[in-house]
Amino acid sequence: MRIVQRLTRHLVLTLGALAMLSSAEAGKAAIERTEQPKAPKGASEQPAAAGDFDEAAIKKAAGEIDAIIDAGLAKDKIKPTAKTRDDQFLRRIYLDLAGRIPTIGEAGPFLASSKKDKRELLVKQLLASEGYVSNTFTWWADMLRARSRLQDRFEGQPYIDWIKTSVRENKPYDKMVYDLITAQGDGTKRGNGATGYYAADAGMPQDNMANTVRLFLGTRLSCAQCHNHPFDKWTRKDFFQMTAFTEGTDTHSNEGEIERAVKGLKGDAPYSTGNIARRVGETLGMSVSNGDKGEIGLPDNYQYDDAHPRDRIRARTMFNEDILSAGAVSVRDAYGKWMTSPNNARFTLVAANRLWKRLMRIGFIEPLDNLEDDTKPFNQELADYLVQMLKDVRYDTRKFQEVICRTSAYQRQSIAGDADRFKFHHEGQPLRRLTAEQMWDSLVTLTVPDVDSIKDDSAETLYRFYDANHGKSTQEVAQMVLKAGEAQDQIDDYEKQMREIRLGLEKGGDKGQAEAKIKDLQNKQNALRPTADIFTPYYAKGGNSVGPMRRASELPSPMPPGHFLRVFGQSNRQLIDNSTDSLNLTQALELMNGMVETTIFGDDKSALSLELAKGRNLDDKVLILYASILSRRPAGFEIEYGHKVMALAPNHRGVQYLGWALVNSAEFAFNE
Amino acid sequence: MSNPANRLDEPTRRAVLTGLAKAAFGLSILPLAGSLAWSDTPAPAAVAQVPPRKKPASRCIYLYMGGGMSHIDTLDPKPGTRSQGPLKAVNSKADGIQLGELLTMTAAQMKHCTVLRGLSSNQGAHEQAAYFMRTSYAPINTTRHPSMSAWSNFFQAKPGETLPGGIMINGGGEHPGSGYLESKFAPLPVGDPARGVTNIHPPQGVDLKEMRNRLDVLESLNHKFYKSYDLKAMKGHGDMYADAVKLMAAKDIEAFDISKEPGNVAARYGDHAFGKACLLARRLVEKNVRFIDISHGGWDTHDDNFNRLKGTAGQLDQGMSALIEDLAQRGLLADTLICLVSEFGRSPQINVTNGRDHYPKAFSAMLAGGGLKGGSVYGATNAEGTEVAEGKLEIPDLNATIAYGLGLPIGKTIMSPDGRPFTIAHKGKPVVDLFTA
Repeated sequence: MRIVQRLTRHLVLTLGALAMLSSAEAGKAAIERTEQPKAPKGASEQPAAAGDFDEAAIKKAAGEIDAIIDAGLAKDKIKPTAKTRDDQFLRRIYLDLAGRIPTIGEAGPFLASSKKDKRELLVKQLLASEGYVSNTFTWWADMLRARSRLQDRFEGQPYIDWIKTSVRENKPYDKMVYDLITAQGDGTKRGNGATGYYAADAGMPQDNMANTVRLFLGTRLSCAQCHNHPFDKWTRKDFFQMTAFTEGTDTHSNEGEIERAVKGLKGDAPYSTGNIARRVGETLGMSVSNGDKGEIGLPDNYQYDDAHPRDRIRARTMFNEDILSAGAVSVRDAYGKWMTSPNNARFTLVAANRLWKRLMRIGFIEPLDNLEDDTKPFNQELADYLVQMLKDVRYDTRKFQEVICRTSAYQRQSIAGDADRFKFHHEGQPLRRLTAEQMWDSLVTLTVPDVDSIKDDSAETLYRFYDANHGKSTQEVAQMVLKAGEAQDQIDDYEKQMREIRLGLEKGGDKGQAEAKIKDLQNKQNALRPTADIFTPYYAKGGNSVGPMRRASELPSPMPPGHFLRVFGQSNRQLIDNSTDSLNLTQALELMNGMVETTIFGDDKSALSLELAKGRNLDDKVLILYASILSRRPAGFEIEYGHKVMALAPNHRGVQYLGWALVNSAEFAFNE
Repeated sequence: MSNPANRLDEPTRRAVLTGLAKAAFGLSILPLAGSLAWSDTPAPAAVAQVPPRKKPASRCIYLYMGGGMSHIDTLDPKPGTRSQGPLKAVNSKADGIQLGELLTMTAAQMKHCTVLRGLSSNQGAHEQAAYFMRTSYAPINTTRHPSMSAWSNFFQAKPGETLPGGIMINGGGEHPGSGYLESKFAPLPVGDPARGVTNIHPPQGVDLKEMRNRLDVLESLNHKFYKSYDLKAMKGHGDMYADAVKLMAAKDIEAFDISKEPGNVAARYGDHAFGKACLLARRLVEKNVRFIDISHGGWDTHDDNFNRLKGTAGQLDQGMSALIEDLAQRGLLADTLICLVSEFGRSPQINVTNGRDHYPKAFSAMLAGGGLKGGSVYGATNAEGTEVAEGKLEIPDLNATIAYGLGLPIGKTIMSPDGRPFTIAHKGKPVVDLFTA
């Protein structure tokens, strides 16, 4: 027993020291950040101020939330779990706010620090980090179904970039929603990516409205698209009155116009111009028009007595309010203002519930998007408090979450069993699996250093293309398309020639001569590629320069089926909040036999390999593995066991053995 | 003394004793029914009481057309009416049955097929309708219902199976999976049929002996954490690894490798994801995998319906016809039920952008093989395809028919974990007459 204690004391010293020793710069930076939270790198403006909701107000609010929860616990005689240990808190707060595990350089200083307010400082630091932007992007992308391609037609990168920028600038929640549902104009114009909200449902305005109401008002109207809601009060007329607010909204492309112009330039235009015209039209010409009539015709099959088929009806809110009469600037503006008004009770209720659930894992109303008139939160007082608080912080979501992270309720250890999500007292955090993104991003953290700084820049390429070309006439654009099309056709023709040469070779022929010809054709192809790719002059950083090991937020959205992220349940982003945490054995195969072995342990330049190289002895290596992978110190018996495991294979392979097991462990897979 | 350190002793010597390592030696860990209550008590009166099929099909290939397959352009053509549009109808090998011209190769296999032209659904939005089609229940927010694949695993897994009972190819997040059943009953996803099950071999340089040692270490490390939490998800985590190891050691694993097929065979199925999936399905059926679920998207043709269908329906035609032909030729078709379904049909009315919109009111599906009488049509729509005229089948009826064909107990009541009674096909009534016996 004494040996274990001595070992542990030794380790307390080692870990802090080692973390700083092994990555002195990162450690130092982490401490500096801890002392003085800074605005995130690349933020174009300071986070918007949440009124006068200062440090004292945050502290007070956290205490009041705890008082409400504790009263509920006392009333039902439920004993809360203990406060998290520092290492438990550390891992949880990193996963919840930054969306990934901490590096050893981030973990060490925090665990070693004896500052009384180190948790509060860490919360502030993480909320201001790029890791938070990445993680919060995922949250929004799942809600908004933000895909790299919208309706398989339009570029989604500007939309994705708009979400990230809005999160980075800490745009208030209500403002963000207002911007989304009032978006119009050119979608590829820098800063106008919110138009993706309509492009994502191009051609399906009714589905778009049903989604809007479900997302922001927590209410299912989609049934009423075809008939009166069978269980709730909504009528088909209510639905069409709501849809009238966005009636006429459409997403356009001018590919047809460009194609016609190309044909005008050259009757038998190259085959490839069709594709190129589409790409250009859907980028340069992508535009969301705003109906703004505030009227809609009822469908032919309208079946109720309260109106007739094909009647034109005026827009009214689903609660049957007329918001257009009183001197509205525009239909869309009135609709946006109504939706995001603090007086629209369901709007703030749903937002507060979503944010609460994001951190506390179970909402005060479950499920969060099927509200009916008689829906009651399990803890009414808590719901009322949080709704008021969201208004008080003026919809500043970081501030709101900061309060939650500071509560004792958030900082409790996990409960041992399954939580009852319809009457949960928050006696401790329900255990949850790492999401697909958290799992992937954590593994990427073990692979590449400074993971949050790696950014996707594909939106920038589109913006540059737009800036340079949107002023041009259709004729000029058609010239570009024609030139690129000719080059592409030539490339395809060379490809055909190469195939023929290869076929000829199979039948017997001079190998050397054939290879020389192929080489020559390839060179010719390469020379043409910049001309064929119409985006060539506009690539940021020379194209897709970052590798595949980057955070999920910086990869295509969603990844194709079969990618690690999809295997672990990433949303297909076709449906709202469509990610899944169901287990299947391909996940185990992925972790046992996939990238973990090759990318993390097999590469001596991986972030973890670089750390391990600094370990002086086996004790160090066990420590580095536990601190890097599980964000905690190993217990005494774990060190002893680690030695035994490492002895199963020589040198680095022994280390790999233990590391492999830790990445595959249940402790890694769950967020306590 | 329950010091966890004691558990962590001597990893190598204990290796052969652990469950995971046992699995690697070839002993299977089975998804047998057990933890969930199901009763033999008769289902409520509304649920069809039909004696079980005497010789049910033992395998199912479920072809799911995502987005809403235009029935008029595929299974229920309406030549000479406004609804038809520019595509033609073609005669099939069965007298008097026509299909859309995009299904010409399928038409040649018609003697194995039964077209159902009287489907009707009340769900017109993709998500809800797809869920309804796969589960027989409208989506509710308080539980998730199991897919037919999960039911097959739940009721029909047999000792000795080493390949998973259910495989899902090209599927996405919309699949209900195991619903409220344990996650081990969910189908195994194969993202890319050309790659099969990825990561099925131990990492390079790691042999099976080292893998066993590693698994043993892993189990020791997990011991304490598993003991701290009494959760469904935690049990699932252990099962997931056990199943993965079982599959790694399965001798039939090469069934997943379609590159083993001769080039001319692969070419008949087509060089596209759907064709490859059908080819993989055939290989898996040969190894007695019970339920193979294939998704094929691209059917949501609100605009430019007729041009867009050429690709989508053309691929369906090529893959499905090759599959039917090969299974028949191998003598496997009589025992394999092929289902072609979609969440809804598309409007007989052609819209201003030459598209067709969602149409759940009257649409079609097709069954093939599985001991069907074949060469027949059940149900019909009216002249323009706007209404079901006869042989109306609600979605639960279709699912009851499929379940009946597969010998699943449609009359049984199953209690979900939150104590609610469900049946496999809700209140659906099977069309028993479609089958020979």
